[in-house]
Amino acid sequence: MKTSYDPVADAKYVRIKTGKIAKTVEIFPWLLLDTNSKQEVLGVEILNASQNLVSVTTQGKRLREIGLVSLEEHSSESKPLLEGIETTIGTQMQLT
Amino acid sequence: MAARKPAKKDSLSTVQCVWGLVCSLSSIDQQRNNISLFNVLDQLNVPKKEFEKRGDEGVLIVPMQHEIVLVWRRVINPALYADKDRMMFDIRIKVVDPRGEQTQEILFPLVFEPGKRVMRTRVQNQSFHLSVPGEYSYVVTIEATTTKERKKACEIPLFVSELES
Repeated sequence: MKTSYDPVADAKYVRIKTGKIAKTVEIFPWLLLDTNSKQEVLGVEILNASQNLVSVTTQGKRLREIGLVSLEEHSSESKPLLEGIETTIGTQMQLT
Repeated sequence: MAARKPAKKDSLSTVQCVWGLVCSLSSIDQQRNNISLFNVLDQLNVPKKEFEKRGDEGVLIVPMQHEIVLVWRRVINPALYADKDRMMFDIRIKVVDPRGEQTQEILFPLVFEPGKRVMRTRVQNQSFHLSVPGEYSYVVTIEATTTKERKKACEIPLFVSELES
């Protein structure tokens, strides 16, 4: 995974694999997924990245899970936000 | 004598990984903020016949939930600057198999709010992704979000043993 962060826009982009972006899927107004024609996730865009703390897990070049990191004093815990989006967007997505 | 230059505020030298490990479960006492770790893992025993059932990508997925717990410390030199600034880093955990190939990667942010000097991170992982038996490594690196400066924070070993049925 490669990341880029724009401190002025407070936006982070996590690139998972290279390819031509066919569609951008909005999960939340601050969380966008770029997918190719095969509906594989190529990248994850996080807006207000300093406030919306998100963990991204991949297996090989495939997105496995996106988690929401909540900050508590002296600790942080990652909770599943989206699961099962490894292959097809829209059919296997689960909000937990 | 030349004046000493102050370190950059987001420099990786200001952050240190105190310890890290893999366990089955962790629990935090909300009143005391103490963490209890259950079943700290350093070895997995997998039947030999299970490795023969590896999928198309040559990876055996063991559906065992576990956690990677890391404790971070902000190293402050009062002569240079105080801990009044919010600092944000990216933590990258790469799971590397005995052949040196990466099977999984986890990326998450680490934020030190103003005044906070110790942070504890717990990342839940839903499964183990195993290619071959041997010694796996959870290689943890910390990366500055803006400068892309990166350094290895720690390495957690996990031995996967093949059991003869």
